[in-house]
Amino acid sequence: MHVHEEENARVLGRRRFLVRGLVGGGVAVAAGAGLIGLSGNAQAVTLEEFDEIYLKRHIKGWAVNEGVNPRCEATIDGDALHVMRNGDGTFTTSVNHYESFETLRDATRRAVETLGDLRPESQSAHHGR
Amino acid sequence: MGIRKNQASLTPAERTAFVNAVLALKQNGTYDQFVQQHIVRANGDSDWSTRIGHRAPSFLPWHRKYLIDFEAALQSINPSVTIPYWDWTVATTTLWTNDFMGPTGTSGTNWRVPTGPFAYSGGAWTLTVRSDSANYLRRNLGAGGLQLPSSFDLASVMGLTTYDTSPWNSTSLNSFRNYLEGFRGPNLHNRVHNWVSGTMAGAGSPNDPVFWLHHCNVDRLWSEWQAQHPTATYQPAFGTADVADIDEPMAPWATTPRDMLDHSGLYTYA
Repeated sequence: MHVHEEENARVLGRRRFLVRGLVGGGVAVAAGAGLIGLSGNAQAVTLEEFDEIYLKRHIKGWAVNEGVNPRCEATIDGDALHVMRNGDGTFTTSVNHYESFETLRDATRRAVETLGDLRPESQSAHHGR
Repeated sequence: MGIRKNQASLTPAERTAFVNAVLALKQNGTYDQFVQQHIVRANGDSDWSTRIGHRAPSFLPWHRKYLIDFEAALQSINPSVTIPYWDWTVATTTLWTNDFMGPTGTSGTNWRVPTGPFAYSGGAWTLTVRSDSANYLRRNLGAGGLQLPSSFDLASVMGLTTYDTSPWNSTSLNSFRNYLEGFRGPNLHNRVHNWVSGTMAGAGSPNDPVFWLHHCNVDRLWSEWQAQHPTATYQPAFGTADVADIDEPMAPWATTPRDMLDHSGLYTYA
């Protein structure tokens, strides 16, 4: 279920970027309809997206709301950072698991500060080495 | 039955016995299984779906069970060992010492703990199950000028009279559980993780052995609150989506919150 949701999030992310691209071309309605078809009955609403260099690290991320279901992803130099949206709309990462941040960009920047020259790792990436 | 003591009042022999039992669990691989269990729950618990170990009513009984299991593992090494607690409302000179938890790191080494039993350089404490690429323990005590919770902060939370409230997550108001966990109110438990910082800030926080002393204190505070509010039982009772009601199992165990309400048969606090 969780894996499926993450896959959905990735699909939604790609669709959302596609929608943005198409808005300029004047076919947003058709693209929007496709998005609705994908997600059942809820429209995805973009909360934020960013792609920047912070403290010499390349950070990227996006967050959308699809009805009541938030989706978000972030990377640091291409490595996935485990992120989640909290019930009050703030964001938390696995690097600063006990802190909440107003935006996903703030949460990702703080992860960079906490990591220093380290990389985030997803769970089970390492076993008894 | 064990007696859990304040770390400040342990004898030198008790301090050494605790450290050696922890190192033995690391050596035989048991310790990393506990770390893994925590990372799974920390990353899986969500305000929007299933939540068991964090941001949920079962935050307290889940960690009580987690500590009971860890203490049993310690006692398989040395039956006399119990988990000590760190009362973070009182300044301490006995915790961050080279015969016990070891000191803070410094910025020049990305907060690597340089000495003590759990320093990477000692060869006995390499992080293998983790949420970042550091194979060494890191600490930045007092990160960003943060202060530990005061006794005043604590008193305001101990005075709450309701165990937990809807929506049973990190946004719950006037909830003893959520204010002790730290998402609302003066920020108690979460703040201590952030104060230690480094390894303790992330989902792999049990890689820092002070995790157990911190959570032992959280458990002690819950125990005291239970004694002070004998009619304020665990909530919710039944039919609640995504969280463990009082008689529902707390993954990964069959253990229910009700099973954890009375710890007196296993340990007491001194």
